[in-house]
Amino acid sequence: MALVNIKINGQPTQVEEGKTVLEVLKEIGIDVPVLCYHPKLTSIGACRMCVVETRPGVLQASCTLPVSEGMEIQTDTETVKKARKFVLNLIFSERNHYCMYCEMSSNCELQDLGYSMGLDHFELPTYTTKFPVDTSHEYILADHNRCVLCRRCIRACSEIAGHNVLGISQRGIDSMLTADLNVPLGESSCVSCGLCVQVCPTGALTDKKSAYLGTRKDSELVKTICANCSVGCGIEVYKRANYIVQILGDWENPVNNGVLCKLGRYAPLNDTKERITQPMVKKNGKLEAVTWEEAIDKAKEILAEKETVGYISASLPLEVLSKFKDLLGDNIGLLENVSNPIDNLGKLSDILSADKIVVIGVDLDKNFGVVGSFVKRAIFNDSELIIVDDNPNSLNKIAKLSYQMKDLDKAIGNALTGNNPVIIYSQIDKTISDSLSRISGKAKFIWLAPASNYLGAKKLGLNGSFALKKNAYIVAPYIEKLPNNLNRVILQTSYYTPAVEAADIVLPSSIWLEEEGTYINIEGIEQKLVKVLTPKKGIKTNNEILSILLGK
Amino acid sequence: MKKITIATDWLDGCSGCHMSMLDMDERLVELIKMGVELNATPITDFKEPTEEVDIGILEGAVSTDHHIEVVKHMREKCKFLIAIGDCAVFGGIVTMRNYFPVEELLKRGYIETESTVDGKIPTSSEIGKHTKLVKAVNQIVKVDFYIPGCPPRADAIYHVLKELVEGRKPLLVGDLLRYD
Repeated sequence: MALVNIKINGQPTQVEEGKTVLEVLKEIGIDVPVLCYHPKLTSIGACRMCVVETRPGVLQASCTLPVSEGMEIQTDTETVKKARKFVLNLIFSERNHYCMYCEMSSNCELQDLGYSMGLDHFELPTYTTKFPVDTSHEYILADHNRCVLCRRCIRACSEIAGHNVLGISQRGIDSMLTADLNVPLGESSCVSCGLCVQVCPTGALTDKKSAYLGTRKDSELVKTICANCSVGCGIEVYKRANYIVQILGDWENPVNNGVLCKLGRYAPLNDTKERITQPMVKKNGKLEAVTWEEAIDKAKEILAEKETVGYISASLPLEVLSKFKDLLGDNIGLLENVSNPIDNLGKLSDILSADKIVVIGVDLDKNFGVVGSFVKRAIFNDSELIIVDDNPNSLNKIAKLSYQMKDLDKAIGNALTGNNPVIIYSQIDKTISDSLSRISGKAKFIWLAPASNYLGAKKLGLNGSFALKKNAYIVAPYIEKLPNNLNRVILQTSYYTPAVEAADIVLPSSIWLEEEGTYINIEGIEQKLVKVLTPKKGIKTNNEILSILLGK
Repeated sequence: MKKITIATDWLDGCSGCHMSMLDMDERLVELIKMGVELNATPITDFKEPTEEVDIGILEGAVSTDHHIEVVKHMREKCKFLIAIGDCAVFGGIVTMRNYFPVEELLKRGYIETESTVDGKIPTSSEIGKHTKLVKAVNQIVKVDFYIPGCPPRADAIYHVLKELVEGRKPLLVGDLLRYD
């Protein structure tokens, strides 16, 4: 990398060509106030907060200014300080930025700037226009009165999440953040990934639930992974006492780089399903609450009969799956049992370098949303999308070609004309598995496995082949219905469902947020699940219960 | 010991800032021992400054023609004027009514509130008339120092008064400068 000679506050230094002034200043530890700038987004120099002096009296936004030979940068002159404070005053005067009744107070970058620059009063009269508050979205509150028009949300929505929902309508002082062609956010094409909220520096875009649960500053941060699906995105969970305040995408996680889907960001906060909080045993045809000792003794009786088959959900950590195997030997099966004929697993990043992308039988706006973000980003960079689906697919509107499932081979044939084809699929039947097997090695395959640790379960040798016996021990955080033709069933689960009523022994177990362990995602990456919450009294972790049954 | 006189008054506010002043607790005594003399304050119960004072403190936003008079009177009577709390400093929560015409505001407040029976808008000439817009104190007169906060921390008020009494220029940084 070529170097250029510049002067910073009179000090000569050599820096890499191609970097922006802001990047260089940050690297050497000079504090520059920023507002519209975000390290993960393209800089646009909209707010002018980061101005520096390049010649006496000449102010330039450092976030968009590349360093060049002979450049002399002043970061701390009276002119710079005055300009930055004036910009701050302008922003505060433009809309309603009264902190005392804003839920984001103390979670706000505009407020932080006010504090750090010693803004103790407004120099300009404040705005008196009332802007709309858009409450139409299920999870996101858009209060335009708090918007500073930094356009971070717009850039996040298009550049990273790939959804291209947000934009600006009008010009100048009339500029407004707009969804689609100016429809309420809740009626727009928004898929609720929530990345706009994650990057919003003020209280303009907030999580409806999180905003009223406490501030991030007063919360404990736990970095873990989302175990809702097999993508295995990195999440940052903010918690207070024993409840979740907010979930953000982890920018540093190599799987998702900050992006999440609706499920990852909002499902845990909005989980209203009823939990089981005490062990139960069926007596005279009715489930009765019992002590853990009694429930374990009864479970051991059934297990001792040697007539018991094990079913376990591949959504559980390796450690749990492994203990289950220790307990029941090889006579165990996965509840989510499908077999994938294709060996070579692609990486999500392969999608970004693909020229042809085939998506088979899955709507990526509804499921595996983060994979959808990768696909949409690739299309933005001119990749061609081919959808193969018999059902209506949200991505049809951005697809180059759409096929019915009967024309799968045509779609694949087209994809193979590309240099770097990627094929994404979830369900597997004979047609799909035959078609894909034929082109093995000619494309990258991304299989959206049906449970969060499916690859981990396969690695442990768990599959669907086992001998049927009369009793079953079933371990699944959520299960609607029990398999047929069973005599007695031990059910280790978290939520009340019809399956619970049909079981003989019910062992209340933790959900993934209360568990810890190892997961292997669809790319084969091994990641640690960190315990976020402590299960309620009466509930044990899957790991604990299996340890007790194993006598360890 | 040099005597330093202080007068305080409030405009359209909730008195929370004055509560914060009282929250200085024993540090009030310390200030008095240092020469502070309280003229019009909630403690002395004078309604307005009775003489020229060194420091004037105003809480609340300027919302009526009466408030404008109070502000001007305080400015005339004091050498150093402090706006205290978000309402006096920025306009604060009171500016929420800037989104509505005054007529609508009074109708909502005196007639339409859910608990009101046979309400009517007071018309007595004794009562101040609402101005069209709520303003911060510095939009009416010159303000010499600002202590924002809703309410400002007692620590911040104490810090400012102590600095002034000891002849230094106060500066609010860190936890002393807050907007909430």
